[in-house]
Amino acid sequence: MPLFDKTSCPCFSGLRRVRCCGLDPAGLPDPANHAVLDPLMEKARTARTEGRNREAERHVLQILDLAPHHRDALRLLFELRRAEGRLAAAEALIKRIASLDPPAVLAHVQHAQLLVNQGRHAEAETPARLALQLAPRDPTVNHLLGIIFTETGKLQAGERHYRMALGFADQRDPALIGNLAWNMKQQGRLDEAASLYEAAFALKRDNPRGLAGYAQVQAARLRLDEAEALLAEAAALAPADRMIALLGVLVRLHRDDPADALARIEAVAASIAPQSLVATEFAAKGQALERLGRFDDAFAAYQAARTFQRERAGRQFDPAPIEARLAQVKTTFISDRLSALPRPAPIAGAPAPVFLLGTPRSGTSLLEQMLIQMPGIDPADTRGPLPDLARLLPALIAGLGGPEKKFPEALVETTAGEQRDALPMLAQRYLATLRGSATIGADSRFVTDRGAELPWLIGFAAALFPDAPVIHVLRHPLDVVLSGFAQDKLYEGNAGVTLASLARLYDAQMQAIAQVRGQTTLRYLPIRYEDMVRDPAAALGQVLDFLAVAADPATLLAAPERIAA
Amino acid sequence: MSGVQGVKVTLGEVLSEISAFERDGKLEEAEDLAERVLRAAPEHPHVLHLSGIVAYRRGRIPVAIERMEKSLALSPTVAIYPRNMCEIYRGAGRLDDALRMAQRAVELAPEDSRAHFNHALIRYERLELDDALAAADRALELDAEFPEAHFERAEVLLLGGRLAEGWESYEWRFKLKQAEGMLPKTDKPQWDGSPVPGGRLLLVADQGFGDCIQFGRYIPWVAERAPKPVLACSGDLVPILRQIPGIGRIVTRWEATGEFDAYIPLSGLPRLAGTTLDTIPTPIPYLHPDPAKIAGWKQRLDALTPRGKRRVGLVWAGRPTHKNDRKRTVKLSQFAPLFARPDLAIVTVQKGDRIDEVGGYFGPAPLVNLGPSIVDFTDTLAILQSLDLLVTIDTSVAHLAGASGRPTSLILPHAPDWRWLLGRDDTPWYPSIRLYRQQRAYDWSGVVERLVADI
Repeated sequence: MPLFDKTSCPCFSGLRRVRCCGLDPAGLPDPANHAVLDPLMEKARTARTEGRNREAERHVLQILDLAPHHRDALRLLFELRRAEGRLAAAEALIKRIASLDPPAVLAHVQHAQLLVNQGRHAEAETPARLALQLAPRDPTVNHLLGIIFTETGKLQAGERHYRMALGFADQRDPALIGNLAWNMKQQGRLDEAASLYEAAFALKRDNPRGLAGYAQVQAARLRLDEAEALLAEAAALAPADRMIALLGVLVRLHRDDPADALARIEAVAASIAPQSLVATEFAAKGQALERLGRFDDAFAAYQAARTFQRERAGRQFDPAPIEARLAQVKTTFISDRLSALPRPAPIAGAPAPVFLLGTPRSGTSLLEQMLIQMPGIDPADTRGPLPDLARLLPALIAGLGGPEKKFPEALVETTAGEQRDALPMLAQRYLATLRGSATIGADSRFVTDRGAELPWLIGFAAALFPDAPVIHVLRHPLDVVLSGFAQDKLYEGNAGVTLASLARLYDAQMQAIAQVRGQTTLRYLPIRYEDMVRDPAAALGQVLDFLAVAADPATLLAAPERIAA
Repeated sequence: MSGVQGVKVTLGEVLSEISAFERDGKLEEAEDLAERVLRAAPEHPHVLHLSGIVAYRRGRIPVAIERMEKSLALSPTVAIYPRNMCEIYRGAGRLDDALRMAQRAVELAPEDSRAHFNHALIRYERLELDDALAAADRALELDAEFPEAHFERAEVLLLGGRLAEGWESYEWRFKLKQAEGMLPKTDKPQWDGSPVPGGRLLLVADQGFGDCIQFGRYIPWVAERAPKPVLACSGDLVPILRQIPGIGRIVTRWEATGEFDAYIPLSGLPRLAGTTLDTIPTPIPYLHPDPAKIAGWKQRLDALTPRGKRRVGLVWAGRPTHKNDRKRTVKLSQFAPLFARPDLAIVTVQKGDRIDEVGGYFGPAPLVNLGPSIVDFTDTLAILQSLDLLVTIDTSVAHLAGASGRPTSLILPHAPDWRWLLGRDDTPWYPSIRLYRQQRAYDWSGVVERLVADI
């Protein structure tokens, strides 16, 4: 190393590397001596206040060259870099501030916010939790954790923190209420979501994304006029917002008006030319074209969506995670290995889960919609907690004194010692989670679960609820793959990006299901999507019969479509 | 060429090496060497023949037949070729070709006892019992100490219902190569039926599980003459056989038998009892499931199967190492006519590797794959009580059902095991079992349909 290392830091903070990410903390000045730099720091603050950012930058770089842990200088430089969009530098700086003693809530909050703003919600959880340790009753911190948990799919945890934030705040914050409303929407609690949006807009209505969120709630409640009015209001506030425009297209499709949907998407395309539409817009265009009977054009639009994902967004198919999951299922679900698995007894008074099993786009949502026409059958949709419980199992096994094993291998460990309690505990938690989210109530007899991970987790589901009905929706594989391709969803391993990779996903999931079916005892009924479409009453009757539910399927299907509350 | 590079060996040596690999079950090595030799000598009859045998053992039956037919065409007077071809054709279900080969082998080598034995085998497959008996007898004239021929003779006689004669020849079964280890190494005599003091007779549960269940009915008869006999059996059978009255101790290792004065295999008891078709003891049920297990399985089945449907148990595959497994085992999908019945729910009580076929089942009848939840025979015995009917191939579960008096439909190959006799749809061994036989060898068509029509 040269005697005087002038190398700039690769994080683009503007500091020398040895004063930034390559800092040797052993050689730092005593913070008590930072006071000699106060005059220069004051100059920097003044320059920043008066908008002379380059001058402010020059001053703080000088300060930090002499005192790399000067908190105020670091903070000012962080603000500058964040404002410039130099996010790697901003992140390095805020992490350094957060590491200083004494710890500061604000630094952790800003670190978490920086990550949230980049969509890195899972990573943001760590600094947000550090902030919570320092300020457990801080509404901002709880609001932030609410966002993080909601966006990482932990909806009930998100709801808890939003509600705590509301409780701790002095004033009612429309953004917080709107975020809680979105959380409710994600949980399928549409009526509560609508009330919260109304409350938020009573405080502040000029929030285009909030209006768009409310529009989605109204669309899900089949109140399409209200949804379109909200979207029009949002579009007036943010005419260039393509997400809002896209929602308008989707509502038009929902209203079976593909011509107008197509016109709208083409208007967006014209307004941004020569820039391209993005994948979601191409997929919506494909759906409009398909409904218009222009199948070749539709397929071209779907292909354009997937091409965008592959070539512009860099999403390439990676079979490794799919193959790994299949291999895990094949090595774990072997009858001899699981023959002594404890069988949790049915939980008295609790509704029975009904697992609606299927590969993506096979028709489980159609079946669920038909089933919930029957009073007492409530939908968990794709929000069942099985994936969370699968993640919890290894920790529970270890916590009960068992060895550290990953899921699903950890399942085998439930045959020994205190770990035999694990499955009944998780079965209880499954139901408690659904109760907590108001998915099930006092009148529920059954709860349908059509989680996207069920093809991998059906053996685990049956281990928790050995007598639970498993209804396997089968659809012609070519239709499944084509229908999956006509979405913008990426699926596991980015399998959605080509027809061939979607076929690989389908094949792997069907192999996983076959493995579990062959090696375990399931209460299993296969039903064909094509039969559900051709003769819905007969198909529903078959399933109700299997569930031992007495009802006239034709009458149920003739009743107005049930909408989740 | 034979593994040591640079050392010249004769073709005969290489062929001997292939034969040795094949005899020792080293089929991959045998195949590898055979294929290399065949490339060097593609028209050599013995190379073709031997590589055909190796291909057959590897399951490449069309390749085997093609090569062996070619060898026979090249050398039509080598007696061993048609003799072996007979077995290959028999395995492939080509019984007319097999018979032609057997006759040709006998013609070429009339003094070869194995040629006559193979002839007897194919006659049995064709259910030509008089000819089968004559061929076995001819083999024994040439070689009176030929255990396989004696055993074949026994099977022919027993299948024909000539039990008294059949039991005598059946005694040769312990001289078969595969019977090694079935009996204790002892200088004590085989029991002759005379009285033996309590606990001094060793009963040996020999043969397969089904045989042990079938012949277990004789244990009370034994106990009248030799009280509290010690029973040596596989651990799997202990919970089943221990419920038959009269047994003393049960052991699962030869070392644990203790001192005994005489021994007798269970399969030797019908002969000792002088059993004929008219005197088969049927103290049915002589196996009784545990009431607690019956209740537990009933509760489970009530939860797993839809209401209002008749429950049909199903077993479609046997132990793959059984000598006749290819003949008796079917695919799950071959029960399609059963699955099409809207009034039935299927409960598979299949165990073993073949349970994975359930993973590919998408038939209309609800199917509960109960096999993975079954721990031992006592579970199966209890489950049978909650089924309206068991449909099964010829395997131990059929015997469990028969011995516990449960209604059973048993599908049988054209030439079945001797115990199921011929020309009848019932069995004097188990009154609750109804038999459904193949009309043509290796052809299951119509069998399941007839069975389903009777449900």
